[in-house]
Amino acid sequence: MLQVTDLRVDYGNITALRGVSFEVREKEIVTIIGSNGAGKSSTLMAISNIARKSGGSVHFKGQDISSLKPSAIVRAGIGHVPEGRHIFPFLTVQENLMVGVSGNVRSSRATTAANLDRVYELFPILAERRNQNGGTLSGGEQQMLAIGRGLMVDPEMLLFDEPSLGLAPIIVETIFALIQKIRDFGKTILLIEQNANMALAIADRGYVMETGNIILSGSAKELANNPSVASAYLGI
Amino acid sequence: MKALVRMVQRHGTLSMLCAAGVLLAVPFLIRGNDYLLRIAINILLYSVLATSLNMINGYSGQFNIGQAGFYCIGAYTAAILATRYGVGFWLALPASGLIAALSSVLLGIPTARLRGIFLAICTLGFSEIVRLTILNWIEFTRGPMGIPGIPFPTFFGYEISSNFGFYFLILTIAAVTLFVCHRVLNSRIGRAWIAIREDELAAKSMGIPTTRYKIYNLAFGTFWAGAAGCFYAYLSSYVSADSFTLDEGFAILCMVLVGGPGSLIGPLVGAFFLVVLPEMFRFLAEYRLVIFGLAILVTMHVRPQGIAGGGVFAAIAPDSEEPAGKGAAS
Repeated sequence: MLQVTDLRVDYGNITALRGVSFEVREKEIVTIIGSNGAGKSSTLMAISNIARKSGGSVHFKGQDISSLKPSAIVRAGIGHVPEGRHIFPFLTVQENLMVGVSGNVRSSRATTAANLDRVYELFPILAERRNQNGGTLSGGEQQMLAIGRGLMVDPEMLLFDEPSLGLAPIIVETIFALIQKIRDFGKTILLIEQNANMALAIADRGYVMETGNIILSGSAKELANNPSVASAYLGI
Repeated sequence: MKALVRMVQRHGTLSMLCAAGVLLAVPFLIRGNDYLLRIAINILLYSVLATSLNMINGYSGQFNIGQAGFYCIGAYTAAILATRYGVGFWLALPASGLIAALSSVLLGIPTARLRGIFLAICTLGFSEIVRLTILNWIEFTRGPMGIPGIPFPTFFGYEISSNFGFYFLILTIAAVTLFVCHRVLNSRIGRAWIAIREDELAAKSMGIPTTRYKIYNLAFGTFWAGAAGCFYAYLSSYVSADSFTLDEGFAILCMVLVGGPGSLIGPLVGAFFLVVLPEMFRFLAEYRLVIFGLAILVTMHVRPQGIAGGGVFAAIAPDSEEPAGKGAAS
């Protein structure tokens, strides 16, 4: 579904990605794990074309989306839930969610209402706080809001950038359970995580990144049992 | 004050009706006193101008300080249409707005990537370019002589020639401006503007074409400034480039900042204060502008979010609003 070939990103003199290739198949959860600065977020930003690519290509459903604008990529069907949540602090929860409709190509009054119901069903706490400003939510609730907003776009594929960042372990478990549930809606998911343990537990396949390269790939189970991954990322 | 705010929040429609009643009653109370009527007209005119700027600075976070340039374009469009082509007020009004909006698009396309202070300097430059072009393009704009003899507007055969009539004209324009702005802000486009203001990256990742929406925003905001310019041209029946200096642009900006950017009521409050204050201190002659400056300093110190800004009229009190927790554990 998503085919990334030889992706390169440079920030000035610093090379962030040195030719990254991977693929995500339909209705899979694929995770990219790696430590800080490995280039995980750069990969996502390059797919969404928020970071400028210096080489390589991205194909989505056979179409070359390498040079589309960020907004056009969302319309093509790839939603992005950015790292650090990036919710709109002075919009209410409901308004935050309604912003997501902007990128929804199939939106109509009916689908918007249905999507909104689905988000509130997934995250009952958001329904409770729908008239509260986004900035007043706790970290976990903000992450839920960011994911909910991504679901309002209703894309075929969702990119998650470190949804566990700065959250208490119990909240992380809830969020990851929800990501699995989102896959069950028929979405394809690419998940970037430092929390390799949790990510490999819900993913089908995974890639391990280090200093701008993919150094390992395989099924989630294989990676979790790989001794070098275990020692480097799982803390076993 | 707090009690008043609470009352307004609880009885939204009722307070709107009360405000409308007061605004309709005012000209009857001060009829015959042209000085007071003119101040009331100025308050409403500057309310429209401040609202138009607030749409840009307050809602999409672009920083425009050259609103006087668009105001000027609107005024000259109306003056030229009326004196040379015999176009009536009701056609000149949208035409002035559209020409102002069009010129903002021409400014917006090359400057769309600029942010903050850089965009501000560009709009400042644009405002001066407009004024100087008009001042020197004598064949078209009569340059420093200005354009006199703009006829009075008519309304179904009734000629609006008194301040009393102009009051109701600008009241209508202000009401339409506010109503349309309110509707647009609560639409998908308005939410997209606020999203861009709050977090451009997140707005992009939600599929908002941010560059295009910023240009829409500039065009929408300057449309109303152009319309206000048209009203001004008819009100004074004479336009001259001197009326549209940078000072004018700064005054409009101050109204937005003092009143409270990002709220619909803010610019109205700001326009009221900054029109009335210099009038109250007329006895100080030139020093009255010092009072004006002091008032701005004091407001910025006591209420940096503006008199009516920062959610005074929103459901949540400003004290309980925290910025987005970055990485705070839940």
